[in-house]
Amino acid sequence: MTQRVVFADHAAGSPLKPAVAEAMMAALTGLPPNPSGAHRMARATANVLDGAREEVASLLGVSPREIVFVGGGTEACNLALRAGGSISGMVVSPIEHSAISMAAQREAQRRGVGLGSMNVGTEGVVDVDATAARIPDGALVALMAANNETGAIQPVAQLRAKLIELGHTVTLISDAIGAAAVMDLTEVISVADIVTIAGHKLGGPPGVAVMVVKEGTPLDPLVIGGGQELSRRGGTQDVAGIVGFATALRLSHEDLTSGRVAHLGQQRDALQAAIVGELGDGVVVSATHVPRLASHLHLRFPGVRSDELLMLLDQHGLCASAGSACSSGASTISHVLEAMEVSMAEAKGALRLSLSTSTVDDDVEWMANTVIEAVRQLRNA
Amino acid sequence: MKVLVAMSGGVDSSVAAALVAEAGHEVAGVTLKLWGGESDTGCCSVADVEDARRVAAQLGIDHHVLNLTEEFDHFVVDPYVAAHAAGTTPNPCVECNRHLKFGMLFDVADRLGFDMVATGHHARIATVGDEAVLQRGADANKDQSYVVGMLQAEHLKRVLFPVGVMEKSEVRAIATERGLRTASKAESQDVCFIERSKGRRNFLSTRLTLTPAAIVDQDSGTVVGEVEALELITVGQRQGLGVDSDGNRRVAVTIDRSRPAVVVTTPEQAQVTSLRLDPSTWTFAVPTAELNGDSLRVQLRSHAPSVEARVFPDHLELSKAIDPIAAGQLCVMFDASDTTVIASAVIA
Repeated sequence: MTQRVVFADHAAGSPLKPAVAEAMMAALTGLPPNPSGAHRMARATANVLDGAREEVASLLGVSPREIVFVGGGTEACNLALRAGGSISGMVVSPIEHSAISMAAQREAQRRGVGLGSMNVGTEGVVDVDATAARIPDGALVALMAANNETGAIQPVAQLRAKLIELGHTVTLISDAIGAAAVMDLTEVISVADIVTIAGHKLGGPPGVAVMVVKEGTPLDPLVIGGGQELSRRGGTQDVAGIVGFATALRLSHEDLTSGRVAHLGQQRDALQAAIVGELGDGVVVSATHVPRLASHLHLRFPGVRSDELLMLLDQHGLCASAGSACSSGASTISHVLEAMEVSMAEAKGALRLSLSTSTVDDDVEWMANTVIEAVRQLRNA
Repeated sequence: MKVLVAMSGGVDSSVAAALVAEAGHEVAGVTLKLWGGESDTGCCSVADVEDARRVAAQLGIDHHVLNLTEEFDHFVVDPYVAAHAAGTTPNPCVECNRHLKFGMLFDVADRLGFDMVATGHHARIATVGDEAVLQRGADANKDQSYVVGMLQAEHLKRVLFPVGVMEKSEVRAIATERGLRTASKAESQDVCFIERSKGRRNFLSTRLTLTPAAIVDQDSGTVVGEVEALELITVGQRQGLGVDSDGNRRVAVTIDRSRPAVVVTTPEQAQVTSLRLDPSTWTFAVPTAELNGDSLRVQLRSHAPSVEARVFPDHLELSKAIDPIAAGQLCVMFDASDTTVIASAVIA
């Protein structure tokens, strides 16, 4: 009998959807790779690129000129932090992905401005009222659309509204990479100056990401040469990857409108209920009392070590994550849980189960039982 | 059997994993992430984890990473710094083996349901009667029985040292034969958390205040020089302490924090014939051993030859005079044939 394997780490990246692979294959074969050129074949490639850009723009409700294709989510976030021209300071939430937080430290130093933080509540949501007054007029501000570990949806629109109320004009960037697969981004895109989305979280290819850069938002490029993407990102575009991105984004939108994301939320709730029902006080669920992504279930098991739990789950075929993993694969205490003032004992026992619209009902109960048994084994040994 | 193999990303543990897997056991590899700070010694780096992961994939076994950086700080790095501050010289590799590579790994194996733990150490587990005993590795130049000499009898029943029975050249040959990417990888020999390019002084200076001290002659009591940092001097050290009137290098015999001073003498006078042991640190590889004046071979440093000694609960009487040994170093006692580990204790 082959071992049952269930993938519950979609927040790290969802396997490529078959329709995406098909669309990419069509773009990879038969066309020259470079869309820039004074001949019909380059134009054919450019046509495919333009079509993908228009589709992405239309899905996101912006103009094609506001779409910048870059080589992955981290690059998108790094580049976003070079926006805003002459800024008075930078204010970045403490629960951002390191693609934002580490780049923010470097950029604040490089640009010679101060770097401020934001208040976060115990449910993992930024406290707008406590934070907004400390954001100076003319600052570059970063607040993610939803947290990639806990799934807690962040008050991006409320922050903008509050800043307008205070009379503060800021450049607002919102990392929507963790959110885009299951969240309607209309509101975030309407209030932010820059929004980032990465392909591999959508069942698209890795190494392709989109920045929505609103008209009139100055951007100091990271990669120059060639003048591509209206000189905001040099280098020949990965046209097949971009086609894959556009396809994956369209499929994600269909999931939202067809009710598949709502069903995903029910699956997640059932998974949570099953685990909490069995383990009771032995488990703490993050972000339960705030709006969160339908895909995310973030759990804390006091007295259990995340890395051991993940090993045991892996042995049983359940692929999950602690929420944060460094490139070596070693789990570290999450800065997100630190910001939420979660106790060390709980933070060390974090588990993130992240599902997708490809998750089947049949696997939900099995996942719950696998987690319950593993936690019991580690506690009883 | 279910075997958990500690894979550092080096050739020895790669081959250990290969041999255990080929023996038909159910095997998972685990790489311990120990040091979270800067390193250029090639230990605990992302590249090592990648090597271990790749080798595990080549062998068709699971691979996991355990993050023990906090425990490493607690059990190894902090005590290392504290010991230097107190004028003693610990062996961090021994303490890492004691608390992490074996201590914590056995706990993990228990919780995850593994029967045995395997590593790539060059030491042998043999069976005498019903008991598992720890013996020197087959390759005399690579023998690591000293650094695992603190293993207790109950551990030995659960440990596999698959490469301990072979020469290093055989280990590399096996790795090459199987196309493992670690086959010709260089060995890591330095203390993993101290950057080679910056050294021990730099490391310690970031963690404690270094104390300048006088060099004082033991016989005359006169000050004959000074050192930049008391914490960097080890009992038995000859480097950096100058020469006496006969042209002999001086030897450090006492680190006196109260003055502060490094007391030195001639190589002849520095020699010792007895050493004190910390009675709270005894471990017994042979559980029945009762050491009360027994004549054994004792090894006092990694890769140093053993010497004959009578072993008592709180001291050693050596059969010949040797250079002084710093407090904090491990004494591993072997049987009279210098093959089998009997016990260990830390020099006081």
